[in-house]
Amino acid sequence: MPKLAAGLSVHGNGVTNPPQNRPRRQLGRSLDTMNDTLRTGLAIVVGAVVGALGREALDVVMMAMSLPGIDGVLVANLMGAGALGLTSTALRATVPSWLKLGLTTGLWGTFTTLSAISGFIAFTPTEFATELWWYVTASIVGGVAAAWAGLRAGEAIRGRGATA
Amino acid sequence: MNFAEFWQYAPAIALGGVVGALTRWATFRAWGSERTVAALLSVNSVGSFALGVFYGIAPELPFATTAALVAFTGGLTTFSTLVVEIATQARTRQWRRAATTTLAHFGGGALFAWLGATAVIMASGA
Repeated sequence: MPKLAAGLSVHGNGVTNPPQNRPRRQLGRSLDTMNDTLRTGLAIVVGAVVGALGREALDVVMMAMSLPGIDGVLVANLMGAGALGLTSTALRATVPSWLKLGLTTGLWGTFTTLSAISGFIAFTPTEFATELWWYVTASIVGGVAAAWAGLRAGEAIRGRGATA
Repeated sequence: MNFAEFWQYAPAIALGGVVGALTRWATFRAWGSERTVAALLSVNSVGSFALGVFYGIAPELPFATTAALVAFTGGLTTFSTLVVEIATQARTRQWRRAATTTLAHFGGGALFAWLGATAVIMASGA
């Protein structure tokens, strides 16, 4: 920033501002950053509430259905993997970052979980090793396939939007 | 858990999920955008260790507390970000890296969960 005279400077727009405006501008910038952080934090809170309750509700439904080898965590993880792949690529740059983070970090990040799988692997008794093997394989292969499909679908959607 | 219990414990589950998600967000911010792989590994490892600890102490806790703590580990760890990362590595033919990431998170997560439960057993002197 070129100095003109004691306490005066020229900014990018060519307007000369007296030094007493500088703290106010810095305060304004700090408030903008704080507002952005608060907005993002709030979006993540909303997403996390929906994600945590959605996964638990899905688990209750799957338990009631009692399908062999499939539980709510597996279904939530596969759904969330595809949805995150789709969301992270389909959302255009014009979508505000707080909304993106609310959906990706808040909603899909909380809807899915790794700790439950870690717990299954660590604490499942050895007599259920076959079931555990199927579960972990389905989680990894199915999860990566769902994420891959989501990424491709998202790219296709974004590409169509760009050419329209 | 049935639907009646789900509604009963929903506030605890939501609270745990929110604290976990905000901790994960703060962890990613602390590591910075250049080191998301390290951030992901740290939240998944710490979350799995915490699950092991809660697994060890759960019998002594009220169910609402257990529900909140388990929801916290669910919110802290993330499967979707992990598999999107692995899929991205596989799409760019970084097979060795994809295999390492898979092993580090799933194998490491199980190890940390076991360590968490073992730490509780050792601390209680059993």
